[in-house]
Amino acid sequence: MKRGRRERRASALLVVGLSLLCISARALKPSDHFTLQDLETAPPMTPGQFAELFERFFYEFSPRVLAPEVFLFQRAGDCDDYAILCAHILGQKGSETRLIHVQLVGENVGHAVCYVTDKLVYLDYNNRNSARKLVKSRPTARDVATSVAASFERNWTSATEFTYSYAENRKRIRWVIVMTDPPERDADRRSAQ
Amino acid sequence: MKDKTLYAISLLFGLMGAIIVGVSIVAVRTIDRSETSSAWVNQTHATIYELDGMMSEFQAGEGMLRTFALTGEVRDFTECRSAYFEVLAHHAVAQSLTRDNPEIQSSLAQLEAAVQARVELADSLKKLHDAGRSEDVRSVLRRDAGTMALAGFQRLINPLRNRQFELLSDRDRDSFRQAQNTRFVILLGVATNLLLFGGATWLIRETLATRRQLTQTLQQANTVLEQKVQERTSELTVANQRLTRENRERKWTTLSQERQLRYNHAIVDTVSELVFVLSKARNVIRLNPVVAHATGFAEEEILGRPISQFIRLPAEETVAPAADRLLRAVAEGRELTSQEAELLARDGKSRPGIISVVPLRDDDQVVGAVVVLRLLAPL
Repeated sequence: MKRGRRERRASALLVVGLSLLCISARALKPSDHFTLQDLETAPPMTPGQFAELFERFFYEFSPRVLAPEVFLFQRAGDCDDYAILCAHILGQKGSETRLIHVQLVGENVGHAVCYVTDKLVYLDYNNRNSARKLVKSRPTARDVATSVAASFERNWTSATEFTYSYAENRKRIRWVIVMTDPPERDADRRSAQ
Repeated sequence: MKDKTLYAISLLFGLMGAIIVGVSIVAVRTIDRSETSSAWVNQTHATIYELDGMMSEFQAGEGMLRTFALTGEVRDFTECRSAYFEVLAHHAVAQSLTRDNPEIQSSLAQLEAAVQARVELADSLKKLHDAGRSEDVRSVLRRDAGTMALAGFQRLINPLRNRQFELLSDRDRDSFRQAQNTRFVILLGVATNLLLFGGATWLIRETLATRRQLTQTLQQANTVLEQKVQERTSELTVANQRLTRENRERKWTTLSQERQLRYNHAIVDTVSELVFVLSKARNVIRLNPVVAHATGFAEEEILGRPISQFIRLPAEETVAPAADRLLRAVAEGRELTSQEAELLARDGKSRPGIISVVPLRDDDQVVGAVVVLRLLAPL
């Protein structure tokens, strides 16, 4: 009787140990050269864990959205590439995400972030190296735009919420929030109501 | 005077405070307006940026469309579509930025239709290419007035851009006027405040000078008063010393007089003859002890009674005329010397004697008389 209990306990410990080993083997690290498939097959991750993976990436502007493989291979890209990949991966892992592009004052100055609705935070490629990788914000595009613009110490003119699919390779605009409009007129607020 | 000054100063400072508050409100409002104006300027610039973005992406799309027709590369087709989609993205933002302007919205709708047409054209070319009909691709492109599409797009974009620049000019003019107005209000407020401050300073200085003058006058008055008090005090001290001395002298005099009176009384009492002192009304007011002994009356019974009840002149027929003579002599202030008289005793007997009457004078006024009776027979 005693022997049987001891065996069961040993086998349970073995299962737990193997599972932990398996998980640690699959968990990605910032130093890894991971691919899109690695990200897609990785165990569920929090926005913070996702952001940590990119802390050794570089900034490189490209006028078009890079294919995720290219972005991950060259470990360099811009805010669009990061935010779109973030929405793609975290969306697959069950998080509700929104892509918001904030147009700042000045020609050709814009910035895209990925907002995670269930955590009330957004991921910003500019914060990949900082300790504070996630920025808290209320869920309206206006609040996100105000927060993003403040990080640049600039004013903003419009915030565009969009979706992007790698298959279609096209940005689809959901709505545009204009800074001079009264907040009640914002499309995301009206749709939430 | 004091209350009025305080009231005036308070009023001036209150006015200054009100002006500062007013100017601050105007300044804050202007900053708010300026921010709003700046936001509108930024929005206008953003609209221009979006229009420019549309134009450049449209040009890129057109270029890539022709490149695709020449090379047949899928990557070129993808780039072409991406450029057109970017035009649509810019269009969506421009549409939102100008949603309150129907005229611009109408033009933007035309632009969107033009881009959609180009996307459809690109898709149709892709289909022809995929079907291996490369000649048809080039033929379609020849038929398509691409450059004309570009010019048409430019024709639609340009008025929109110009309109945005006009708006910028208008907003800049408003901003300039606001700045001018604010500058004027602030300068006016500062100038008024300086004037009021000057007025308050002048008022305070005047009040202080008046108060200083009043204090000096008060100090001078105090000094004069103190001098007078000192003078009066010294005068009073002297007077007091004099009075003390006089009192002391008077006391001595009184004591001396009392002593003298006692001596006089003692002298009169030691006289062996009968002495009567009469008042102006001829009543007995003083007598020596011999009188009581000789008459048998007590001293109290004699005092205050007429002298005629105790002395009679025997040479006359009646007592009354003799008494009248005595009394007349007293009244007229005449002396009577060595006149015969009789003393009337309690027991009704009379004793002969010699009488002398000497009037008493005070400042030539007869105030009484002294009657001395020497009995001829011893008691």
